[in-house]
Amino acid sequence: MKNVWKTISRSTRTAKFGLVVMALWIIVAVLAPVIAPYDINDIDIAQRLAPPAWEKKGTIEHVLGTDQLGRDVLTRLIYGSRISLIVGIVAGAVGMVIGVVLGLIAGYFGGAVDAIISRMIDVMLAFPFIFLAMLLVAALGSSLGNVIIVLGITGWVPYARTIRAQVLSVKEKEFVKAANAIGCRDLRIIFKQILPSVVDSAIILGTMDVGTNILAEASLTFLGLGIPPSIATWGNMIANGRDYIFNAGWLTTIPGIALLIGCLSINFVGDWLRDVRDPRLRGVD
Amino acid sequence: MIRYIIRRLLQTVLVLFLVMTLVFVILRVVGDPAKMMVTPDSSYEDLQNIRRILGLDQPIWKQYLNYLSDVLRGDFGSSYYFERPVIDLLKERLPATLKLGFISLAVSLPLALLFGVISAIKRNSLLDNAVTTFVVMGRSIPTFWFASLMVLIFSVQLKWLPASGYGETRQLIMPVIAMSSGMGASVTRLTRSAMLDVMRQDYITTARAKGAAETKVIIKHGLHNALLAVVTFVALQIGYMFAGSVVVESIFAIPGIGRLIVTAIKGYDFPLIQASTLIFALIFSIINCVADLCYTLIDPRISFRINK
Repeated sequence: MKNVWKTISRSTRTAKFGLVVMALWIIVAVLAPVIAPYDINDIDIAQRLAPPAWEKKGTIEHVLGTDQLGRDVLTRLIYGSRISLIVGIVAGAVGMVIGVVLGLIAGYFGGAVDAIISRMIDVMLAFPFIFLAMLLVAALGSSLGNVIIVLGITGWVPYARTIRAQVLSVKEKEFVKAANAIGCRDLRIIFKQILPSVVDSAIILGTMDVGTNILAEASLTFLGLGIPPSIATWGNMIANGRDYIFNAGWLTTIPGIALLIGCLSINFVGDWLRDVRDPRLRGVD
Repeated sequence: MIRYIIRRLLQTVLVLFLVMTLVFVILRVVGDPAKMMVTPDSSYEDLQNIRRILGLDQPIWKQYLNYLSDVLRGDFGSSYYFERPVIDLLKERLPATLKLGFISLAVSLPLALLFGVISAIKRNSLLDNAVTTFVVMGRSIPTFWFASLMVLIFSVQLKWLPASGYGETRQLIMPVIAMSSGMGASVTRLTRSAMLDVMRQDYITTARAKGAAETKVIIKHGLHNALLAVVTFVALQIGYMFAGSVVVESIFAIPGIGRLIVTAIKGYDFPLIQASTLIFALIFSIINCVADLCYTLIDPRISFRINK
């Protein structure tokens, strides 16, 4: 623990900013029902499309204004932070597990297994993942769970590619050869010898992936192929804001700023982790 | 060299074939367009009828063989929704997407390389800081929000540009910016870091020590080597940029393939989904192929190995 604090205190200014925002984000998401000023579906018909407090007609009652049904934007923003965080982390974890396992297998065994996995990677790279995601969500039906699954199973490629390449070089190291020589089984070598030396890269890629997934979820939702409009997410809020862009600009700007600051923070932290732990990964994302 | 190109093309065909198969399988396994076409009071027989007309009642391997043989003969079927041959729809919609894509590319790629190089050479200058900020923002701003924000500022507030539409040059300005900003940011970032790496190398010091002019050192010795790291990456980014047309075309109401694909997917329009995803995969593959060929041209070591 002491070490963690030491590393953080030596980090860059942007990384500190990122860590603070991420910590706040988690707190807000966890405590959403406690800190949100209204209930998520509270409708205040009299206050429809009320502008934020800093505008002329704004009131302190609805600090960030209200939408076309009179729902409080701040409340929805707070609840939306939960969805983004869940999607980002869970989908990232699913992608990481699939990608790391495939990368380890491809790199370690080589031969036919490697050829198959490498072709799979080629196909995924030849095909913008957003289409695959759109297809799958449309087919499975739009729901939070499906979006997470879809982003998870389409997001494994960067992990598999990077890990495979690293395994290829780690495999030639003496300690792996020694383990092989004393008769360790393949699985043991993969998980006990090789995995620890590639786990850093996986975690760094994973951090960045959280941001990518959050943006992907918002984009899918915006296109109407993600999370259904009944759930408050930042993507849905922006999509909804588009219909009122000519008279209620805050419905577009406010959730977008949240999304921007969130992803900026994740990227700051990811960049910093990479620079500290593994400069070789520069430019892979 | 010829042999390399042929092998590369064969690889591309294989990948396209796999993409085709993947999309086909996903569609057949999970979707049922017939259900979208019936009214709530239709009978089960109606449903079966529609399935039979669309050929969806046959076993999947038979459907697949039919599909393959049709595609090889250049027949992509008819759209369920538009009730027209898919190939005509694509012919109508492709020009807008390509135009938008190529203009975005022509605008952003040179600028990205230029700013990447300058910001690496003048490290920590005012310009470098501005470029770095732009790059960081570019990675974290979702395209769809950035586009909406531009509409808000330039159409709603300032009333300078039309909010959507296609045809006039003025209507292309915001879509092009939206489309190219993401790619521009990533390419600038990579060019910068590649240049920083290269300019530290001994051969740069040697070139300078020989008395070569600084511009020559930067372009011939620096950029030339930095490009090696950039080319493959740029190809991927261009692909993603084309994928971004899905969002950009939807926001600015541009009649391109990106918007077509969203309509097709929402309506389970199988023939249209299959053909339009194939087109995108084709664009993607061509770009990657060209990048690989460029790579062999830039890096004499590789062309040497291929020719041997």
